[in-house]
Amino acid sequence: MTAPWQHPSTGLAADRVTAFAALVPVLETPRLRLRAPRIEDFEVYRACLNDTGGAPADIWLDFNQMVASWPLRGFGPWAIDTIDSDTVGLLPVDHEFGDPEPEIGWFLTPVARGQGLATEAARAALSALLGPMGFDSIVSYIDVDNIASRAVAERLGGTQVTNGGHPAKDVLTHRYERVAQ
Amino acid sequence: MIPVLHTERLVLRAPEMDDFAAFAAFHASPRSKGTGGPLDAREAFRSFAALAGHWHLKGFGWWMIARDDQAIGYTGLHEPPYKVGPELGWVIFEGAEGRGYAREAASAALNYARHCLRPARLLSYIADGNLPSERLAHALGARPDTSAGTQNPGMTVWAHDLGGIA
Repeated sequence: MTAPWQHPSTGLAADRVTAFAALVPVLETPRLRLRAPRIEDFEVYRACLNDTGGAPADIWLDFNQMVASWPLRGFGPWAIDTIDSDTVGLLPVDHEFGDPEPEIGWFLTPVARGQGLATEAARAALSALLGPMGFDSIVSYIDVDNIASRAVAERLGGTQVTNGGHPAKDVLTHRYERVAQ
Repeated sequence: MIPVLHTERLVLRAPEMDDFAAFAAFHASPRSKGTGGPLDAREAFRSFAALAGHWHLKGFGWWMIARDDQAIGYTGLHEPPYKVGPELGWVIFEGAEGRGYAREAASAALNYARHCLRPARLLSYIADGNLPSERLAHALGARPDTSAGTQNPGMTVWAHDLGGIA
């Protein structure tokens, strides 16, 4: 059940949502389809956070902020669908306040974990970012004790950087670089 | 793209990164109490970015109000979470008050809502004692609505009955 403020827009506002979404490239992998986030993904984002995201109104602002990277910066998060169109997570790409550079991250709902889906989604996003989207490199910032996420970074071929410059303690920086053609 | 609205003296346009300094300065000041402030720079950035994110998710939102390409405030239509309906709001930054900019900008936003979004009504949340905003809400045709439920004590909900379709 969703509340009225979570419902998708109708009429001209809906046309505008469609136009914004059309600016986000769709990425496909064998099992996944990455697409523009939409309002229905808010509950997916909440589910991904395992009740660690704070008050719902804060999570809503965080979700809006994440999405805003597309209009403000020209790159941003993808929602992750299976090819059957079940939404299983979000793949944020953002330059967060106070951070030295843009980062890529991955969130999956609890049921979608442990199947290599984060790696598969992030690999597709990295090849878009480090290819046609023009990034020479991008990093991920991962808490030291987030073993699962560190394993994803390793599988993606990220190089651990000793001083990544992230302001928080206990955050590891992995760097992904464009491969010369 | 976010529509651009022109009024006699102002341009209502998409929030851009260059507007953040003016936005953050306002939200650092005690004047931002009625909009949930004061906020530190990190919180202000989240609120600023959320203006743009709302457009992407809902297809409507807040515009920056620009005078001579300088951001002097923001106004627009917003559907706040965990509340009862879409909102029409306006904020004028320090130094630009008292010149009728809020009325000029909010009228344009209301006009856009009336013709392009057609909600049955819009709500404005105004801190009690904020006389300039109360006068503006009245001038725009809104009336206090005690049945709508306030977001917190010391706030009155003003309802704009647009007679449109939900």
